[in-house]
Amino acid sequence: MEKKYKITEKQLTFLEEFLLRIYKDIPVKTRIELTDHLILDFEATTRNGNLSQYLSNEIAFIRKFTSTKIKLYKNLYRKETWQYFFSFFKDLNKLPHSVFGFIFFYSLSESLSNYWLWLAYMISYCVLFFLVIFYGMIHQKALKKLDEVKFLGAEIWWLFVLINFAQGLDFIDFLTQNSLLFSAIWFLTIFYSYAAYMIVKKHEKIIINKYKHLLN
Amino acid sequence: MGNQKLFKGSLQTIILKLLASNDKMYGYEITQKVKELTKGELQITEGALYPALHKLEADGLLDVEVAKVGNRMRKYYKLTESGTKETVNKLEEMQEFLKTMQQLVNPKFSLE
Repeated sequence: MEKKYKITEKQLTFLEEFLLRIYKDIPVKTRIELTDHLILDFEATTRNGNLSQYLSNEIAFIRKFTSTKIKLYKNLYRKETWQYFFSFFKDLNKLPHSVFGFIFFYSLSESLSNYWLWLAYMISYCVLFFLVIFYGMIHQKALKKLDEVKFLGAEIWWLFVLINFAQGLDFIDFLTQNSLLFSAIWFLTIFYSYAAYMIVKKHEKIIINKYKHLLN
Repeated sequence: MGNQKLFKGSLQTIILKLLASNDKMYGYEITQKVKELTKGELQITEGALYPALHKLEADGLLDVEVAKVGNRMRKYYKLTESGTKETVNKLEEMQEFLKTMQQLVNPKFSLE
């Protein structure tokens, strides 16, 4: 590996402080990897030893490096949640549950008044929501800042936002008066939340096993 | 470099293969190794390498290890058990692909 320049202790401290100042929330392992890469690349490419100039040129890469790492897990969990959700239609063992679930929601949508229907919907969603929050999320302080943990369980939040959005726009009456549409939304909310819960449980085991050394 | 586009889809296979032959490696080392093995013909850019490494890590194919090197820390990647199996699959897929491509671009030539 070609090396023309050796970074000084002062520059190393400057680099670490620079990354901490600008990206204080990036997890330790990500920062270690980024710092190491920047040092090696700087040492191999610099002609005048000017670290500030090098960092200015590399700022786009640094931004991309930190953001893609976090987005990666977010996208991975979203993809897995949707895959689990679609398995309710594809998997023959789960299909009867899906059919029963939809019929159940539809019959409630047909029989309950708008007020009780919305209340039943909210209660059913809240049960799953709190199940994820209290039993699914990783609460250990030592693990909370890990990339894998930051977005674990986050899939449940967009449904929460969706419900609040419907409330905020006085959209509820329109929804509750359309039984079929409301049943479809109810089905999506409950089954997607359940899928999110299952993905959280799956990854919780993997993460705790992988990072058990941090918990001792 | 004209052939950069051609190897873009093979990046994960290249990383897995290098790690299978080198036990553990760090990101910058991988870029340099590819450059060295291909005599500068192929160059993995940092913008392509790290997302690929992180994706493999997230998929459980790579494990990471942090070690102290001189006055700083370094993050190493190594294959997990499923990563080792996936390397074999990916390399087989690659061989098949190369064979098919040979048949397409040069029907008389055979890799065997």
